[in-house]
Amino acid sequence: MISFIGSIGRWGLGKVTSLGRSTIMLCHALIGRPDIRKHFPLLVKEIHFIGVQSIIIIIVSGLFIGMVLGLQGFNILKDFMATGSLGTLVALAIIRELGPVVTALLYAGRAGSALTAEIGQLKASEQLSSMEMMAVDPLRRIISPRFWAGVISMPILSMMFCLIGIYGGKLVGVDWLGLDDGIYWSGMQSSVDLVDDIGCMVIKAFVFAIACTWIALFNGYDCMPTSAGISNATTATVVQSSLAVLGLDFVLTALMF
Amino acid sequence: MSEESLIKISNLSFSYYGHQIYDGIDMEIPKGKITAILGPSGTGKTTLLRLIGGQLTPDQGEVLFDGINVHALKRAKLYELRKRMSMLFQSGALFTDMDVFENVAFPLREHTRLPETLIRDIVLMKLEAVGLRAAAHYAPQELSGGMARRAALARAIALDPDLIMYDEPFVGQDPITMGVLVKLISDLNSSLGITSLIVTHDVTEVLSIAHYVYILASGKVIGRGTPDEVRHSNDPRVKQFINGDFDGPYAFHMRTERSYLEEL
Repeated sequence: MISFIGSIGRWGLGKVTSLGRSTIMLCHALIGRPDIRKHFPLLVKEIHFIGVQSIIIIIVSGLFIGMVLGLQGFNILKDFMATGSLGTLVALAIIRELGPVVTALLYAGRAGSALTAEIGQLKASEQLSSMEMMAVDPLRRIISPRFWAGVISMPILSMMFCLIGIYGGKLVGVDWLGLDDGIYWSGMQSSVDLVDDIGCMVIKAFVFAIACTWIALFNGYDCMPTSAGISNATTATVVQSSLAVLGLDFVLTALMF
Repeated sequence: MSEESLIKISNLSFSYYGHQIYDGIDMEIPKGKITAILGPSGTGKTTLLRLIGGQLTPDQGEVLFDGINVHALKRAKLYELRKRMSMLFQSGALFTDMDVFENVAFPLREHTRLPETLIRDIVLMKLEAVGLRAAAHYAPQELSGGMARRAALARAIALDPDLIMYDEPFVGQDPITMGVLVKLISDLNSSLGITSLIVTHDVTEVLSIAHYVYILASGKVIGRGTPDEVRHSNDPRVKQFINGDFDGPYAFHMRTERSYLEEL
């Protein structure tokens, strides 16, 4: 019994310690004057990797989620003779919840896991240590551009997801099932608010971006420098990011709407 | 030692996950000389280099680099100090996303604002010094182990440091590469006057070039002196290590609480 309580305590202490270490890592990475000449090209490279290369998966997922919403929504609303609300339904569901959440989950799987594995590998092959010994701070050089790239990319990816999702809903509802084009768009226009809905979507995406990127970077930076360590860290990134996104989404939704 | 020393280690103790690695060691690394640190595997020789580089913090004692206490420095000052030292890692630790040329240019690009033509010239000079000018545009994955280590050496001397620390430079090399590395290390030392610190357990190679030798075992310095003094030492522990004897004060088996018979 005592040892059980003890093990809970150790687990808790371990978690708190790693939270502290991760905060220190992030602070060292972010605080300080950026050197535009050196850091800007690195940032662009990372935005390309994290953001641009995620566009395909975001667009395809957005399209299908929008189409499914359009199909389900139309069939259900038809029973209530309310198919005119399809535009509102699709737009609000995607902008308020699905857009930022699904983007963040996809981001954690595609970019987050890659970041963890990459940094873990850099650590295991002593490249981080050798950089440190060359008087180049790996936190500034490796961690910081990746963090900012994630924070910049995710809101944009989220917006793309929403755009394509709404278009997917239109594709099914209007072009396939025969809803009137004007009704679809005007319903949306009258119900979606720029600040309350789209603004909140961007804030959500921003918060998820910070959480997912931070988790991914820290897991890589803190992993055991072995192949098993890297694989565990990658798994941990996907699991922790997904749970963090879903948990944070509930909190943010409760606060916002 | 009468000569001026670049590094002075006093009363250094360090433990790692509850294992005592160093127990109050004192060392002096003379300036402009090649110093070898010998010891069996697992005595934490690499740890010593990391302690000197400030990547690890000792439990007690201090490391003075040119009179500056490495572990009392703030982060920014420590990075400033590291520009004067460099380390050759066992794996080479070349950056895998850059070719050899870019790897050697990396410290120059990070710490200087030299024009591109000058960087190119310096990189080619450094690569020529290690005999790899022809491999300038190879990816690190295309290099053999020995070539990777030489490329890493070119990178380590790119900023003309005061100190190079070699972590097991001879491990896993064929005899020719080993000979090349030995010659390179001694040439770099004599031509550039760089203080060299070699951590190794390849006794014969290193005794041929070192000016001064320390032998570490069980967290303590068990022998020190010039290569000749060490070769003719009467200490049974030093003798066993230098001659590679199976029998001696250091047992082949790790010490355990229970005897073999009991455990079976």
